[in-house]
Amino acid sequence: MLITPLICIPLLGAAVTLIFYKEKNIQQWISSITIAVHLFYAFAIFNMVQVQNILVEYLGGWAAPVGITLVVDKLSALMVIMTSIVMLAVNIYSRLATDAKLESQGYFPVVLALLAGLSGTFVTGDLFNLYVWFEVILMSSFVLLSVKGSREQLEGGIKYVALNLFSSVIFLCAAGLIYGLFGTLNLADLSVKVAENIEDPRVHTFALMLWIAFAIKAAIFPFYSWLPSSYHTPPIAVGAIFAGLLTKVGIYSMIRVFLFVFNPLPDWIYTLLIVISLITMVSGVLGAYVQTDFRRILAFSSVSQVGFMMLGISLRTDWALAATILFIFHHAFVKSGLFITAGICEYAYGTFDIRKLGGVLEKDVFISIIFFMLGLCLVGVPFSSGFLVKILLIKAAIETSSWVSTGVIIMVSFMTLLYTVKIWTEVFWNALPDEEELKAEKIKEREMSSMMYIPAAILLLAGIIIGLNSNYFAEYGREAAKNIYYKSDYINSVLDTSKYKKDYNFLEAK
Amino acid sequence: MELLFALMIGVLFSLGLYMMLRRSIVKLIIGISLIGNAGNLLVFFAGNMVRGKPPILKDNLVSDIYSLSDPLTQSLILTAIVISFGVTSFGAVLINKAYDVLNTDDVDTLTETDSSC
Repeated sequence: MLITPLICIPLLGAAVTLIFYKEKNIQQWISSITIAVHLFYAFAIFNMVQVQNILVEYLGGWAAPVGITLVVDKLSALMVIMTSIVMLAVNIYSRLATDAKLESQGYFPVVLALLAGLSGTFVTGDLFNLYVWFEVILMSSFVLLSVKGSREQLEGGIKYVALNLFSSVIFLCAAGLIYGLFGTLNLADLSVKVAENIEDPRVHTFALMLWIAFAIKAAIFPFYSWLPSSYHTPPIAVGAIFAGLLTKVGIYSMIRVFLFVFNPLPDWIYTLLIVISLITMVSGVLGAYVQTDFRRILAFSSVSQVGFMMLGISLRTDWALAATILFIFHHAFVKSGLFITAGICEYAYGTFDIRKLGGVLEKDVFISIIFFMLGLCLVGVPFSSGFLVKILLIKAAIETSSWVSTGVIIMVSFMTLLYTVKIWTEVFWNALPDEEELKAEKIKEREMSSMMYIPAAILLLAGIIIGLNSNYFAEYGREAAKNIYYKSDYINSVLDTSKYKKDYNFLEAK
Repeated sequence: MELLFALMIGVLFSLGLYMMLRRSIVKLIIGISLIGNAGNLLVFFAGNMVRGKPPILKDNLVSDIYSLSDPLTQSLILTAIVISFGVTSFGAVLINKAYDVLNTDDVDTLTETDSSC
């Protein structure tokens, strides 16, 4: 009864909001309260993890590896808190800015179901259960992406649905084949059995199948084409959740399954992964630089940032993995915050096209400051959250004498600065291009309530806190990474050997 | 028997992939559901599948537990079938709506949201 509330609270909230399907106000309040309670509970779990290191819950009382096990270690606790904070900020934003059509078609219940799916993914300790939570996330995100039913949303929706369903099938096949080979789906048990057969080429094949399934979700180089063509289509309240949280699910699963269970694979696989992640970083950043739509720049930027996270996974030292974990944490806040600032600019000035925006710095100083600081966090200026994660990654790259990746990290960081500056000059710094032309296109400005700054400010604050407490976070990330690489703690907590025997008694032949 | 199943799964996979690569969005959904079913069969077959030995224990005598068919894969694909059914029906609604709005069923013309570079 310890971990399940993380999943049950949002599901309960979703059920209650469905009862009040027509009452928009009640739905808003219920969803805010639900997410706040979830955040509170996530912090309680986080504190417990500090003391006990790993929390385990056996669903239905079936001891591992028979039943489904929920496990929270330091990595999971961090991910759940991240999800909850981003959701809360987006929830505040959506109260103020989403249009009535989205909300009347079940925005709030679906977002709560998405929160349940994300929490489930982050706490499960079972491969097939992970697949089920992936599907929960997918269904919720399909609905959120296409519910408004405009042209571009349906187009983006078809691409998103087709590729993600394909990746689900690959995941399902890999899970089934792994079960056929090892007879278990519990991640701790699986990692013991995989370690005994790590030379088996079938194991390598299944590991790479899982990697491809996660890479499609995380938008890694050869598979990322669905992301830039769908992430800018939904309303900002949805886009901020997608950009902040959904690609991170792929990276998290890679850490949990690929590094925890299937480690070490042959060296050539990791070399290949380093090459792929470098290509992802460079191609994402080049794509971002040529775009002119605020959200498309941010979507492509997500691709390049995911490359950084993937690089930390493929370098395979505990500092590199700590960098990846903190990168996920920092990027979720910063990218959602940037999406929300894009949404505020669109709400107030009527367009996402940065060529038609301008002079925001004079009209609205607050949002300019928030964007500026978030941009600095994204680029990684000293004392910001981005600096911490990039310096850890560079350190890991130098320690493994991977000079090419060191160079590419620095180069891509500079190019991140380029597109951030591009947005800054076009939208905030320069004067508005030509007022007459804009009037002809019927771009209208709207009054916005000052409450809309709050969600962006919350996310910015999270980024600043990470940057200022970098010692604490670096140490925390390293401990979380050690739990992944030195598996014995996790395995011993999950596979409690005394219970193992007790529940298997009935199987022993008489 | 094994060879037959392996061939059938392979054929289903290739048919599904072929359909997904066609230009019509209706065929895309058909392809997805074919591939989904191929995946389900693969999982079903990955477990210990033996003829005429249901996984029912008599008097806790399980000396020959490995000769029984494996009940877990069956429950796994039961879950997977329900999921793929739900997802496919969502896909059907989506392409219906997309056809209404976009007035085309040709995937190649859906380039509006692609990046222009």
